[in-house]
Amino acid sequence: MKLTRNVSFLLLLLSLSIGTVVAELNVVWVRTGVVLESQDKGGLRSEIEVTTDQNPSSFKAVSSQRIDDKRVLLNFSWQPNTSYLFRSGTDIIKGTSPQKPVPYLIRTIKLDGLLSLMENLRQPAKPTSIAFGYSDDTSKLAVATDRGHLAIVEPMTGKTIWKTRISEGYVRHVAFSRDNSLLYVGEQAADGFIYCYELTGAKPNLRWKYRTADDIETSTPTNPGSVYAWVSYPGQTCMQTLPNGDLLAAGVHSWTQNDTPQKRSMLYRFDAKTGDVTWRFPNDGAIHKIFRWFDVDAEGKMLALVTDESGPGNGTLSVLDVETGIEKWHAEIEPLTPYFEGVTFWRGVSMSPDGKHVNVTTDDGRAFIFDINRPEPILTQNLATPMEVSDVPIIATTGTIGATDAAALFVTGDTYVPYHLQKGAQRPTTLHPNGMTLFAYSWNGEKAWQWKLENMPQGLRIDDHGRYATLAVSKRSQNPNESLHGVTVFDLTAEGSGLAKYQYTYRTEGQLPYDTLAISTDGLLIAIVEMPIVMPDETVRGKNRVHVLY
Amino acid sequence: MDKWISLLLLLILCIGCTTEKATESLPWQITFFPLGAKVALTHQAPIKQITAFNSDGNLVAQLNFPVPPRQIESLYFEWKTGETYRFEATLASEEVIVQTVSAPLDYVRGNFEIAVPYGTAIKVDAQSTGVRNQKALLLQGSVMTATVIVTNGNEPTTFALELCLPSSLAINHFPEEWDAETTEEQTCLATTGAFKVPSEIWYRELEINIPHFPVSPTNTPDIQSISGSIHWTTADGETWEQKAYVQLRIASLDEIEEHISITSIDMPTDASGVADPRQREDTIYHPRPLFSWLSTQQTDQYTPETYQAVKINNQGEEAIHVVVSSINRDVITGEAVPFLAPPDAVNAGTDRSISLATIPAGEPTSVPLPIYFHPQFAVAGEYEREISVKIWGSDTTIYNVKKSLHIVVPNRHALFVSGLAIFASCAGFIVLLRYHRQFFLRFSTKQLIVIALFGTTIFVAVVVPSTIFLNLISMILGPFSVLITGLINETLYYALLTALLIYIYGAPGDKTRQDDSGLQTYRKGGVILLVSAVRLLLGAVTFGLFTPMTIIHTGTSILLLETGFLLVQRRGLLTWALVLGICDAVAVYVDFQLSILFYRLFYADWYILLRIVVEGFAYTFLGVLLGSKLGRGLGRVAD
Repeated sequence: MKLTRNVSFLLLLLSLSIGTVVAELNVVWVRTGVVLESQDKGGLRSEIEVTTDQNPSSFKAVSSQRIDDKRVLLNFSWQPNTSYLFRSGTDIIKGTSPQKPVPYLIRTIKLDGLLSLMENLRQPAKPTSIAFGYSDDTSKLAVATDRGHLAIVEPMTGKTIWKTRISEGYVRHVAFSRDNSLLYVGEQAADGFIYCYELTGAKPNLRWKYRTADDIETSTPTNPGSVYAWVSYPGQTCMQTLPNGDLLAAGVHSWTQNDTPQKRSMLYRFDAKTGDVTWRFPNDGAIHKIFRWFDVDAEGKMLALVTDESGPGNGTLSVLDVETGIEKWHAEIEPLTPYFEGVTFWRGVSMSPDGKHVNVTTDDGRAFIFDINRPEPILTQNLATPMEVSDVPIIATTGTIGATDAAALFVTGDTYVPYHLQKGAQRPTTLHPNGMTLFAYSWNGEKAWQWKLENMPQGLRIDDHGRYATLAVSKRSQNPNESLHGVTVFDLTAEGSGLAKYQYTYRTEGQLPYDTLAISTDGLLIAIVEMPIVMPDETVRGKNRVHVLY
Repeated sequence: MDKWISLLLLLILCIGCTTEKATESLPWQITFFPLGAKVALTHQAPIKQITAFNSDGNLVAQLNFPVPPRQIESLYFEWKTGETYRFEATLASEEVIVQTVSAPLDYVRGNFEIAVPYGTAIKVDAQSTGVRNQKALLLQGSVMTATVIVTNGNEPTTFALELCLPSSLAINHFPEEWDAETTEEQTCLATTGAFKVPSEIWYRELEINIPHFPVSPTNTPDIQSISGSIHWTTADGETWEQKAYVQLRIASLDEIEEHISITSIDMPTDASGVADPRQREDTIYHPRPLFSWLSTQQTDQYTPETYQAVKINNQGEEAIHVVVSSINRDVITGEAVPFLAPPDAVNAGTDRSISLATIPAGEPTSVPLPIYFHPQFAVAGEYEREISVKIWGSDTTIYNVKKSLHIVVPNRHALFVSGLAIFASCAGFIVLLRYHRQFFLRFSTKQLIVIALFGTTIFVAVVVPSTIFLNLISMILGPFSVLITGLINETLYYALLTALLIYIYGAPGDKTRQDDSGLQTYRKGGVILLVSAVRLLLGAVTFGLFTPMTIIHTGTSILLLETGFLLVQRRGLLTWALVLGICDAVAVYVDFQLSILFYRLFYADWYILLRIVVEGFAYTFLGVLLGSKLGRGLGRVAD
């Protein structure tokens, strides 16, 4: 009897200890390595070695990054479907890599309190801009709202470094300087200020600010009660920092005066130290057109800018010398008749980091590739131009765009009927064949690969090495079958088709606002902003928060 | 004992070693497609993760669901033909459900569709084989666009496509690069193309005239068909063929009208067309803030205020593609109402909400249409929704239905009336407190005793039975209970009150008593106040009827009746009855407004009218007439 009891007890102890050892470490295969998760605090050593199952004796130390007490990231490039051994002290853990990496949530950062989103209960504020710091340590993440609230947090810990309110204006863009010492903030408000904060001290200081309304005028919205009243104010449609810390910003003001549409635009280069305007484009005063978007190469030498009339007329692609602000050449893009009287752009332009090529998309569904030295396009492609069904032209949105040294990326979106041509159909029965697709073209104009998206694109970001592309997909819809919100990640260096490049889709509960995703310069971290969405049964899905992912 | 402990330990050990049993309770179907596998779920399942493993047990794809998954979810991975894959679905309860599926050995690479009209082709998965058959119902005399869509599989290919249409269908326009060959029976179009990357899509459009009286070679006058075939060739010479076939049923407008019907039009609904039974039908309620002029109300002109769902039933055999539109008009002028129109950027200044829908055969389909509302310019009142249904691709309207639309705003009138009643009651109460000594000096002790006695009698004869039996009578007679309760509350009450007034002040029109007596009560009122106070206090003590509503209503009633009585004190009985009836009708009206304001109650107009006219006026009038007899008798007894 005693023997039975003792054997039982020993078996129980043994099973418990085995269970503890097995459950001690969990291996998660992420894009840039492996995350080891421990159930106990301090259960992970800082030095962990890795080898493949085929070479069990040749362990090699790999660089690691501690996420918290229970998690550590091992940075190494793993091969799919391969067995690996991980040695931490005397413990050895075995794991087999999957075919593709899986998304890994490092943490979420709540935004309600951080950015005072619920300050006005009738009209809660919305996050509008997010940006990682430029250094590879990714120690800073800036988030801002349409009510002028701004916060800088540590993405790995969620700790707030600084938060403030710059004004009651709509923060259009936030951007760090390349050395992470400056933060630029562009607002869309009556004054259209650009703020430059110095981040080197114990507390950020306002180094300088510039009132763009002095150049592009100010106005009072005709309907101040509208949630879109901010659109009538002067603001910055695009902001980018240069390697020396200087800022490039496109100030744009579009409003209605005495029932007449008014437009003013000006492109600036600001000196980082003084805030002085190094050059303006045009030099002789604001242009009566809209500067939609611009992009610069990695070294900050060339700039590509798209301009339109926001109505009938040609669109223009201008290439400028960033040093002088002088236009090198421009190309006129004529309207796609008979469907459109004018050419307009959304984001619309991107430049390869090596500065050799420019890709452009117009709102009418066309895509163009240009050599940086020539105004004649290398490629003109009808990506999502109208297809006419029973006299109703069906088109897909275009405008989300990106570029690497190897490829031009064009993203098409939801399908619609141009509003001035709607003859009985607001929405077509089905998607445009090329709608909601990511297209990649080589710079000589050949299609390289394509990928069908599962929902509306909400912004594209590519890391500085041109390896990882992140594409947010989401739709403000109450239909549960349309409520796929998340970020899809592609490895642009993977050989093969779109399927080979596709890595994963990380899904969120709530919707993702446009352009509120960021990828760190080294491609390691991804940050996306989630917002709640109310479903038909009045349940709320999602929260105001930032997801920080590997 | 030790034995039992040992057994218990072993049991715990066994339980701990038991693996989670996979169950097959989740209805899910897995099919492979060129980019991975699609998981079809028959209902909203509480799945939080789906993972796929290859035959070696290695993870090939993983999908996490923070919210319940959609009906069809895709797992993207490269699969090998014939290999067995294991799919695991982890439920929210941590239960793991496993399904093992073998990838097909032979599958359709690429996709070929003929859609008439665009967007109606049947979708098939990679494992489907055979000819694709589609049916389309078209309207005679219309112009339709057929769209040919070819989707590449996983490798670079070239294709040769041929499309044949019956000669009775005139092709208005086809792409230049196509070759046409016409015979007596049919017109065949042919073209070639090449795909460089996987999943690439090629599409072309053909414009076809649908004749008024079609005659096909098969002597079936209303049946036509389009057939197509595509020959694929890969870079290494492998070839295969796919076919598609569209049967066109060409119908007249009358035939289509027989097939489809509008079964209901619900409003308000949500975006998916589900009606909310808690909301008033055909109504937009616009709650304007009381002090809206103090701050600007935030509005979003692009977000619909609500939706209306047009439920269309298709009793035919084929799906019908329709355009459903709605415009909101002014009932009198017939003009579109600007504050109920979609913004121009949404619908091109047409003032219409438009929705395209495919109505499947044999089942009603709900088509939601948004209704926009711009509160700054809103005017309450009655409007009209005009809903029309057209066949997609044709300008002919099949149905045109008109429905009413009410714009309701909060009742400000109730606020003002209640405010006035509260103010008057408070003012009267303050005055009474200030001059209460002088007030009581008006009455002799005998009169005060009689008033108290009458107050008590009114309480016992009116308040007690009405409080006890009110709910019972309301249960039986519903809104008409006031016809019974009013006899007690109004007729009996006013009969007793009138008797008291005659006893104190003398009979109506009897001027002798007033002139002979030196008492100031004959010139100044106060009897109604004292009786009402006694009634109120007794009700409060006995039944707890001491709510702010009761106090305000009693105060208003006292002010009205005292004022009315003061004006007609020296006049005849009919004048008394008329004035007291009007005063009580006004008091009933004020009671309604207090209920509307404080309890946010809504009453039908006829009910308000019934209570004011019958309970408020008629029963009071009758009560005064009856009370005069009682009062005269009482006076004679007292004398």
